[in-house]
Amino acid sequence: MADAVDPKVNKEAVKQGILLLFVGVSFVLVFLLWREALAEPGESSPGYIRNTQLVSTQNPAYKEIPSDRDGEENSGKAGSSGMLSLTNTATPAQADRSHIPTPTETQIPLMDQ
Amino acid sequence: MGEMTKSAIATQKATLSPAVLQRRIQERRNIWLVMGTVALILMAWGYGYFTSGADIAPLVPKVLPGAVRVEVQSGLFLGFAEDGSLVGYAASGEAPGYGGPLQILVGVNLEGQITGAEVIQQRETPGFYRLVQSNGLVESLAQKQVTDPFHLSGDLDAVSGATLSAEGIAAATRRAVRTISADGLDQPLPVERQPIKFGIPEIVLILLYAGGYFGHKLRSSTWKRRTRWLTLLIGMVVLGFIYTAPLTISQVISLLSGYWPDWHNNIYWYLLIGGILFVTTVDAKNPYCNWFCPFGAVQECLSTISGAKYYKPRKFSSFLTWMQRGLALLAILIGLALRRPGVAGYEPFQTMFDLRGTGLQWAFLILIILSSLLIYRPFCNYLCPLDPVVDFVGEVRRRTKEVWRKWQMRSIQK
Repeated sequence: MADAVDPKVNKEAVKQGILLLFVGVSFVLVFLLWREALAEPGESSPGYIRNTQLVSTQNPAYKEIPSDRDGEENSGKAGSSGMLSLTNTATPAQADRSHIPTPTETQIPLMDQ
Repeated sequence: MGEMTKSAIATQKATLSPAVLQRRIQERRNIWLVMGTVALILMAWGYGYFTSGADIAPLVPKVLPGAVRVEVQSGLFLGFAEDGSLVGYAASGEAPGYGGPLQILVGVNLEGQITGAEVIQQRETPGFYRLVQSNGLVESLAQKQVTDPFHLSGDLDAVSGATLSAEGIAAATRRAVRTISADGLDQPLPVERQPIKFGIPEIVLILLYAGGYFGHKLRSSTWKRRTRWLTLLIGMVVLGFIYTAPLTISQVISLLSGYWPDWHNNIYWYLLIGGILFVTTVDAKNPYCNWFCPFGAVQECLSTISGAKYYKPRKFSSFLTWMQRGLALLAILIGLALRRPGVAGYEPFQTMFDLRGTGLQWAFLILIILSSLLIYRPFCNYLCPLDPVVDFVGEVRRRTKEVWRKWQMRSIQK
């Protein structure tokens, strides 16, 4: 004689199955979504370390110069103000800029998002 | 004395009923879980903080064509040609995007014209950032003059569906250009005026908070139900379909990461997150999820149409709750450790309200929509990362109140 199956128990089992299937498939999809998102680079920099200045000085292709551009102790040295200007005597900030348009008052409109 | 205390505790334990003992064990376990969660979050935050950052100098030749040598001078990069002549300047600018700060490197020649721009770091949700990329916003910066305003819907094309990311790029460009103009070209630009952005979404959000706050205090169940449906539908239409601005876990991670956007044009962000934290802390009621979450409203509409009921079998109740909490914690840890809040979010809100997404995102959304016809709010009840976050805030609130009450009692006894 076959065992009688309680329809209520059967229905409950189906509901539980649907729920667990939903949760299981969703979790798999969430992990796949994370994998997809993490595969996209968040930066285009070849290095990914915090101290930019430090890296720049360590790399022989790049030099860091002190902020005191006109300081006496820097004049004539590689990377000092003398090397940076077009005229070799002025700082970049002092180079001829008569060709650059004069800045105008910036108007910032309200934007919709 | 110590032995006496120990024996007193043992006697007290022996006289306690199993139910009380069980509750105490549960309470202790909860305290350890809260502390463990906080410790994990702090560790992820620390890891992310100390490992993030980018080396900018090698990228300068990319934005300054012709530069073969780069020198750094207090945040300003100077590019030199092979013959040693100065080619131009480059500087990076940073501004808040959707998932955190966006950093852009801009190169400018000696004529004050932009020669190139490159996004160095971004923490946006990939879907949003892809829109910006396909729009060609960064490429469109080339050939512009440093004196241009660099404003969306002005001299730059707005990016529909990714306004915050695009605005972040525009603002970061303005900052980079200002550095070059002032320190390199010696032509400081006028001070930028920051407009305060307060419009329809902010007003609607405040009204929805008010509706949720006063609605749950209503005594009449009929009016309570009507008010709830009204706020839900307004939330779905306005915060969902019109503005696509629901609360996401990315915003919570941004908050924890310290990536707080500029308040002038992000009042909505502060109202949304601050409002939920404030009301949950003060009133112990979550005003958002049940009253005006746009995605919750979509699911609730579907469940109402199909007659689906809330279902959480007792047998799996605890398991499902902890799975949801674990997923939320994992999302937060990923976002904090990588300092990229945008990638941690897995909610299908953008796909639902903006109708944009990858194949996987669409598959996830369709699964939730179909499940909503069988189960009441399946995403909210089993997957949403915000529910555990709000629960956590509630738990911290309860613990703090308990400690405060005990402290007060001790003060009175003394």
